[in-house]
Amino acid sequence: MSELRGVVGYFDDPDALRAGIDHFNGIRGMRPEVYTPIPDMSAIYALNPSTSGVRWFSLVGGLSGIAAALAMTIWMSWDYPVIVGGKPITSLPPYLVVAFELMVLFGSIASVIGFLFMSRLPDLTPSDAYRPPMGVDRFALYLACSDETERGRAAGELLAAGATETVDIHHAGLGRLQVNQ
Amino acid sequence: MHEHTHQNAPNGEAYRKVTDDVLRPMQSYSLGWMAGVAFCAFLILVGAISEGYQLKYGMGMSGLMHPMMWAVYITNFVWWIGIAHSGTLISAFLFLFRAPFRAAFSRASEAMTLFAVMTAGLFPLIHLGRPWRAYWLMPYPNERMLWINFRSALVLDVFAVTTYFIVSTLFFWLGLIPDVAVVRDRSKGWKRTIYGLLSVGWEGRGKQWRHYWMAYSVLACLAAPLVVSVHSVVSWDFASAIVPGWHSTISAPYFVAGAILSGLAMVLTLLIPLRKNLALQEYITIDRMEQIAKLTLLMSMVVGYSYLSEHFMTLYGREPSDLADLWNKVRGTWASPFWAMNFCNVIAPLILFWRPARRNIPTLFVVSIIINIGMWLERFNIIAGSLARDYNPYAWAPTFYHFRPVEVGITLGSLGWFMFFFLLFTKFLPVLPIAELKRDILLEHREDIAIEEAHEHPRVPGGVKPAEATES
Repeated sequence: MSELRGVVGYFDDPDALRAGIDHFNGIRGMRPEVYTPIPDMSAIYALNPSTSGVRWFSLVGGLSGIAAALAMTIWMSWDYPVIVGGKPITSLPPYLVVAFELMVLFGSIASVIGFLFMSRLPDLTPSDAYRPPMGVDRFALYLACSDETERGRAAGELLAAGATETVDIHHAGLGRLQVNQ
Repeated sequence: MHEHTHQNAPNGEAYRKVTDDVLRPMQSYSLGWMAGVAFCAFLILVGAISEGYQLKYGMGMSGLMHPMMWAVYITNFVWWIGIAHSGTLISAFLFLFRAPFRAAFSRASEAMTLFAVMTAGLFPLIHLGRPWRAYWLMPYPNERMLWINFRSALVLDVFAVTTYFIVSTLFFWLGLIPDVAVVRDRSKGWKRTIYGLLSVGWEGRGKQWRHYWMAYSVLACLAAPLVVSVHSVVSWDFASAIVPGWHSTISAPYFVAGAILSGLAMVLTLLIPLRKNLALQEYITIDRMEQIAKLTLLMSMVVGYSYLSEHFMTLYGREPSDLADLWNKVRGTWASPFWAMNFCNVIAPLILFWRPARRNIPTLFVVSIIINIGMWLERFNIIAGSLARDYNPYAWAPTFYHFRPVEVGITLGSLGWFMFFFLLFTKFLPVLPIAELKRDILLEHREDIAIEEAHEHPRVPGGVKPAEATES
């Protein structure tokens, strides 16, 4: 038998999952990982109420976009100064359009990079606990453990939290893009 | 839509059904679909041959001639950009407002945006005549170390459209990730590799959802004003010139309203056959179609108001060249497209005030096609029609524009190009957002529970209100 990694508890529906998360919020030292096919944010934030750090990536990206656009337009205009239509070399109104577009562009790209970085993605090797039904219709909490004592406690707590079934998770040793059946 | 008791939240079966229903069309290739793809490929070939002919013999093969040096190609560009508008608009705005009918349309309209921008982007290159010089629009030191002119609306347009394309692609891909992960898990071989790469290892963990939700919300916040900015910038391509019929401060909101109208019409044109052919009537319901029809009616009236406002200002200002342009459109050589445009965009959609028409699919389809035609005519009127009456009467075009075969061929090719990608999308990607549909089922259930509780305890001060109970 391969190495024990943890225990997964399956719940009937999102409400049961939410109740299970509330159960673990009352237990110190036990932080389960949620697996859900639905973005039920009330449940997800119940487990980890802090706001995602992605927004800082967005802010920095957006500000970088503005700075890059203004630097580019102003510097390029002065690098070869040509008066067009009697306007000043630094004509801010049209440059602000470029600044807005690059703010959106850099902010969006930074948000996606932030999401990938904070979520530790891309990661093409599936985790030991993940099973395809978790993307479709199964709601689960996963507790990592390494020995039989911990396993027994984790399974007991998962059942007490309302799990209808618990399954031991062993190291699968899967390669990239393989699927745990 | 979904049967469930009010005691327990919908269980796995309801969610499995959504997944199976949405992914079913991806499992087989119907004869009709293959015929559609083949026909689109034929249209692309027609467009490619026409463009090749034009490249070989020059722009004289098109109908472009002084004073109408902008005509069909720029009309097509603005028309496709307009169509591209509503996709991100529907998706981003309805997401931010938490509109319950968003899921029925968002994915298909985002795909529409992407393919329409890809199509629109071809036309400035075609219109250049020498597309291999397109890189001159990029900020690099060209002739004598001269940089591009950032005061030009055309340069601003390059930034706006490029940004719109990249942000729309990111928004579309981000929305796809959880759904494509399901497809990955059900695929084998090369399909698993492609869907696996697209889903970047998504597993639906709590941490992933938390960051995903924030990134998606930020992208929606950024995309919503971007939608407005892009078509405003497109309008400045014209408004910053002094051509009568172009030089108007109303252009930006007028163009944005027109773009939304044409985008909504194209959403209807695409979704009506899609819901039937992919058997998705349970998700894209008549009620949802009616909501889009109401939005279409609203935008049609905004566009009608814009037309009236523009003509009023011309009459009120009494500037001779503006009046000449207006009379040429009202009763001159451009009267036919002008009145056809008004009928298509302002008169015909009024039938949507009648509820049975809004809920009748063939009527909606016909109205959407009429609006699509009307919006093309609107852009053609603005672009070529206004150029036909410039400041200099000596240069006035004596006749209507002469369409040439290469222009027709390239326009048909662009329709084939757009539909080709859309048909591929319907077969290789989930056409509805599966995770969001499941969330809607859950929120609907929670709202039902909240309403039941409110009925059971009507006098409890500060009792749970449905809105508080449902939204996270």
